[in-house]
Amino acid sequence: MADMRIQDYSKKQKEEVFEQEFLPHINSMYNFAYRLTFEEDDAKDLVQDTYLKAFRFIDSFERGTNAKAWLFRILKNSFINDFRKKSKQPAKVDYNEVESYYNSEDVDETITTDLRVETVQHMIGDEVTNALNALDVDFRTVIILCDLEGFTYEEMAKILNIPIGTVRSRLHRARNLLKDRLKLYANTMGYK
Amino acid sequence: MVKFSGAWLKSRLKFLKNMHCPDQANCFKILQLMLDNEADEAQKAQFEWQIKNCMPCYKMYRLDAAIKEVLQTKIEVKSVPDDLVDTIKLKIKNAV
Repeated sequence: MADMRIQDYSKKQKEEVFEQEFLPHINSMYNFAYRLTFEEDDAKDLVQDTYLKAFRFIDSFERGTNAKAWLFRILKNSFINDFRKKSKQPAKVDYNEVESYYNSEDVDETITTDLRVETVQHMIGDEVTNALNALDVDFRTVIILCDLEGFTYEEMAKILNIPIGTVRSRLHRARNLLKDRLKLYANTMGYK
Repeated sequence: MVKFSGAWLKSRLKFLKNMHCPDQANCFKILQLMLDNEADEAQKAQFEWQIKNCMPCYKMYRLDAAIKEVLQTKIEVKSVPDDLVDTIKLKIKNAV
């Protein structure tokens, strides 16, 4: 990733990198943090923490490279290493079990095919948001990175520190779980 | 003009709805690559063939594309709190 070569920025250059390359992504960063934590104050803390770390390690960032992916990687690591540990709600899923599930190449699983395109198109934002938020954080994250933030598989692999093949299989499973959730909402709301 | 009975059409629709793609695992990979703009030229060609010849693949792609679109257009984008940038800058200034 972009953090392999150590730079030696002057104070002025550090401020320029911060202003010109880091701060323009604060919108995406805040929304990512909010979608991970579900709390505005927690999202603020997480973004602050991320930007402070980014500044502290700014010499690891090469100007003109992918600042957004670099920042998202720091934010994701901060969330996992610091924030989630302090969170009131611990992870609900056994990590080893989840990883073996992610890494499996088997995609012959049950898939919701009776969800209609028109039903999805008629859903309101809250229903879609609730379905996404109901997913386990690791599944939710890949959908956010791919579909909402537009990262490539290669960028996602670097942000999440996993192989591209795992990105693909995790995304596939996340989307199937999301379909199940949307189908559940459709049934609950009486959509045809 | 050939006429089809309602019962025949119904049975045909049921068949199409329930039929499975013979190469589901591989097809789903291609569909996802197309959806995410990650497919190469050979995969794009395979995709074109698939959606013309395989109803389950066509349906799945349309559904996946619709879900991706509603995610991008209907999920609320939160505004960054007014004081966040200033707070970050102040903390950095104090830390330096």
